[in-house]
Amino acid sequence: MGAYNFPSAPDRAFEDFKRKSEQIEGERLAGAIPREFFEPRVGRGLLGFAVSWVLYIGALVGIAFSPHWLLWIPLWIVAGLGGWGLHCIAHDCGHGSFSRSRKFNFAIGHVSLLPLIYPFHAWRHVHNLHHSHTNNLELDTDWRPVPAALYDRMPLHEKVIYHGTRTWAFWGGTINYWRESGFRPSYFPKREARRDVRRSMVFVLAVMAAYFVPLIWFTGFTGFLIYFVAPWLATHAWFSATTLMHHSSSDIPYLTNEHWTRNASRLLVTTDFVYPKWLLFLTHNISIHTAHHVAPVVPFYNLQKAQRALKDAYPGMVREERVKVRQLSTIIRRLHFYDTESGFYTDFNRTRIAPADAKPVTVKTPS
Amino acid sequence: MFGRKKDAQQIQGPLTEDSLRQWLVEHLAQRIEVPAADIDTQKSFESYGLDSRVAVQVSGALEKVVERRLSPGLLYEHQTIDDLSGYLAQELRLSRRTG
Repeated sequence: MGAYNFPSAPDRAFEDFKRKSEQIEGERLAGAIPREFFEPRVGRGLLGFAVSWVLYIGALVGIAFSPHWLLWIPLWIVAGLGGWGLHCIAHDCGHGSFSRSRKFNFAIGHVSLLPLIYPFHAWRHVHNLHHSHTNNLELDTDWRPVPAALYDRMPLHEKVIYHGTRTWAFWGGTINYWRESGFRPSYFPKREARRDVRRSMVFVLAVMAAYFVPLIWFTGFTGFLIYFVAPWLATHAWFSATTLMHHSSSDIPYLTNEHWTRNASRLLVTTDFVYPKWLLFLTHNISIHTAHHVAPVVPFYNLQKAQRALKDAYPGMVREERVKVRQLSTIIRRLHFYDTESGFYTDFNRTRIAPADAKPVTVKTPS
Repeated sequence: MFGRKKDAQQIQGPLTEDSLRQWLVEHLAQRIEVPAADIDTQKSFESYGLDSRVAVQVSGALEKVVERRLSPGLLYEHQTIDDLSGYLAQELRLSRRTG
């Protein structure tokens, strides 16, 4: 009698996933990660915070002194990387792993999300919903594909947004989340969350007024575009590409309540991308994502060690791939709808996408 | 922008299966504009003429009452007030136990 008794015709790939999921049922996954990796080192966290601000502000200064406008483009990408790094710091603050002080975490979190003008608590509460419902077909908040039949019933503007953000405008996916929930307390089920969100909104709106008015006064509307809007878009492009890639893979199903389990949602449904060392440093290890989903309290600088411990305890369970542009292009060309028959994906032409044979790749994580 | 729509009416007193059932009766009565006494808790939501848009709105309002995320398809999975309040009471007890 359930409304969502999908997949209606599960094949071997889905059964394989279910078997893996059953194997880890009842396990205390976080127990595989030594407790000492949960300890925050505030100095190391603050170093990350400073590095990302330097990158963001440095790129803006670079734009101001750039001899030619063509140089703006790489500088926007760098500013975006700074803004994205700051989001990754706010991410630790939201999980309480930046420091032991809740107040200090919230303060750093609010300041770190300013390049995105994202009210910290709105982001934090949505992110918690994502963690408690990862890859749940009905309740995940991030990059959840919809069945084609549901898309057909969407009003036109929703169709345009869904189609765009799953294809050419993927970089705007997180802008859409920001638009939907960043400034809307009523989005949140809990009363305290709504109160938190209102407070964060007041902070962001005050800073926007204090920053945008002089920025436009001194640099004009063009200045506003090149010093704020373009870096903001670039930050969202990093944000969207990274989160889309973590949570979309042809061989990882989205699951209805009937098949969804907490442990599988933590260990089996994210793909970790192995970055070059410098990118790992500047994005504060955000791509080491499975250990983070298993134990969100692990600070970013301990994630590599935590991931190794997890891989030792659960061999063959953690999905890792070297990052390539091709992976992103496959996602935006092919992984569009939830396939109600197989539990995996179809594209916009409703052609089923075969789950790739994605055996976990053994990758040496740098120490 | 501030999303300051009036919050859904809250339940006074403790949240129990009975108070949830009562809330659903009153909410449904208000939506379809009939006296609460006319609502039969064993009749399906569909028989009261709730379309899918309203069903999603009801589960949205219910989220505020139970203070947790609920599936937009909840009223299809649990098709009567009795069934739904029973299911939620069970789920909420579970969440209290596991913290």
